[in-house]
Amino acid sequence: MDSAAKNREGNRKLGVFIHIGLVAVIFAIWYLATRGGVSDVILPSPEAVWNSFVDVVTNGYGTNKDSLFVHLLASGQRLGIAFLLSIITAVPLGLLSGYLPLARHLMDPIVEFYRPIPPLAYYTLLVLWLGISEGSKITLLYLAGFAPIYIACSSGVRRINPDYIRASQMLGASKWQTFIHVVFPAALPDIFTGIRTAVGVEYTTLVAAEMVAAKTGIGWMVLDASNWLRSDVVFMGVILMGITGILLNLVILSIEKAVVHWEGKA
Amino acid sequence: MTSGKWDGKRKFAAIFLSLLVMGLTACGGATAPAGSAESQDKAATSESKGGEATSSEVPDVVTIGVQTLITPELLVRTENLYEKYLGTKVNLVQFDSGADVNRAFASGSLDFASIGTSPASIGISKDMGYKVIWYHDVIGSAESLAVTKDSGIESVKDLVGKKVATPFASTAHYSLQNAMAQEGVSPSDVELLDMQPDDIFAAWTRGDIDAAYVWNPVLAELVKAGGKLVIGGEELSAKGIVTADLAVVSKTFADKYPDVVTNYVKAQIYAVDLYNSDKDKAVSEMAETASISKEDCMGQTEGFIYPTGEDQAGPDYFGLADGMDHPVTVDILKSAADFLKEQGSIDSVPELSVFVDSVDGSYIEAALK
Repeated sequence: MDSAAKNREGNRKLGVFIHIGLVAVIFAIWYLATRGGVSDVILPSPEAVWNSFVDVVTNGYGTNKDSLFVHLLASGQRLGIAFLLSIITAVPLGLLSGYLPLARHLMDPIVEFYRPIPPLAYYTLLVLWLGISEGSKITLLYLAGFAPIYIACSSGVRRINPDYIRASQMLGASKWQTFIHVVFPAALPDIFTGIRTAVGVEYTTLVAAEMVAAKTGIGWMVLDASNWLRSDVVFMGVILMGITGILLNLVILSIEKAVVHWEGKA
Repeated sequence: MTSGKWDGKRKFAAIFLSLLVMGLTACGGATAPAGSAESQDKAATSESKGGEATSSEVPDVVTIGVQTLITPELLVRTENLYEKYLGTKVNLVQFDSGADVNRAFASGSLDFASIGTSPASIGISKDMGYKVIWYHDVIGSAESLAVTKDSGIESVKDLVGKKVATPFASTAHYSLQNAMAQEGVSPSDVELLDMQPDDIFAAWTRGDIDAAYVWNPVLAELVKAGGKLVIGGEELSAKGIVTADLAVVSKTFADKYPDVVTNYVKAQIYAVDLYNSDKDKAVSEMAETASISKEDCMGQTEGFIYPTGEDQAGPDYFGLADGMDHPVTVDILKSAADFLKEQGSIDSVPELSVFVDSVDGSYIEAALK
């Protein structure tokens, strides 16, 4: 092992140590705070949150007493479908808009217009148009995820070194061949950045999407529990969302590492 | 009951964050469940002077949480009487549901508020630190189960397999749960959907739902759109399921400023007396603050009972009935909490004494003197 590798290993160990220590300190403060007679609505104790986790896993939550698994699955399904739809549509459209100025002039104004609008602002319209079932929820998540991927793809293509494209064209490649063999691979790192951003944005929109007429879903569970002042369930749901969010990000990062193995090595 | 759900969720987010911060900063200290910041400051200084708050003291500002309910309380707002009666600056905060009111009380942001019996029973069970001092109304047909023409629903039993919307954790939700329990309809056999009133109207118009248990003014819109009423507050209260809209006050606030609380009740008594003496004038003023037409307002008042101060001092509300050691309001709230526990909505219900301590008719008696 050379010294650089040793250094890296040392840094990694230090990082893990700090992370574990940080979590322990937060738990200790949390625990001590709840010992001091704070109302369990304002700050439920770690035990209460753990008990609510066990209770929702074994007895379920909601009108139909759906188990935690059902809630996670319902949210996962909404997220998954919206995520796939946004990848399928935003990646080609984004690449196209980066590649062809005409496409960019057609699509940019629309995306730039709706992108900064808070999803809650147009969710009422989606409910009016698409109804209260899954359609409006998935569309909301889809729209939230579309813009980051589209923009990352578009700017990714425009950042490609023009020499690559000129060289391939000089070698006789058609526009289509250039696109497939040069533009697409060169833009892949940006595509993945866009995808990871999209997952984050869709995830943060989940609670909003499950606000109207949902009866399952982890976001709905948190909202409903707060109506009944069940802060233990709210904390449990929030912590769970945080953990699944971290896991989701790790999964995408590892896929990215496998697919874009050359990034950072050039 | 305007487009406020979005506001509500934003409020929820803000309150949730402030709860976190409060919880961390208050570590080791006792909670301060209520009282606006200003009033607490003042309370703290008066305590340091020896803890004897004279009853003539008045806080710098009083925060009152209000909802758009068609009750004489609207008259107090139309005529700007809160500041006149309370003798200090009044900050009115609009809420769309009792659940939002409870969240605001949890963060200590409110001194007074209007809240339904069902969310009030949740708040008392969770020790939100408030007590009930007044009835704005008793809910009759103003909250009812409306069904669409094509749904084929004739009775509560027919709800099985249908999509029924109601705002969860509200008095309407509570009434619906009770109506279903009485007819032996299991909640899992009905597709119950949590929706705010304005969303219910939209979903109804689109044909997404078969029925809705909701209050006016949305209920009136559903009836205009061809809805048929199946059961309502009137029938349920005849069977002992009473729902009402109450006024609550923070206990710490009431201990510091009892006269201000009495004056709040005086303002309510003035309003209900005005309503009873000149209904025509009262309704047009109420319609003004509720932003609805006078005709609609007149129709909607018929779904409520507005008990007078004398009524409320009596045994049907805060007074003691023969052979009882606590007012009937205590039982209404306790049985609501017990029912919600049975339904699995809340995890625990405290002893009766907690509810006894959370119902206080003394301010009505003082106001009537």
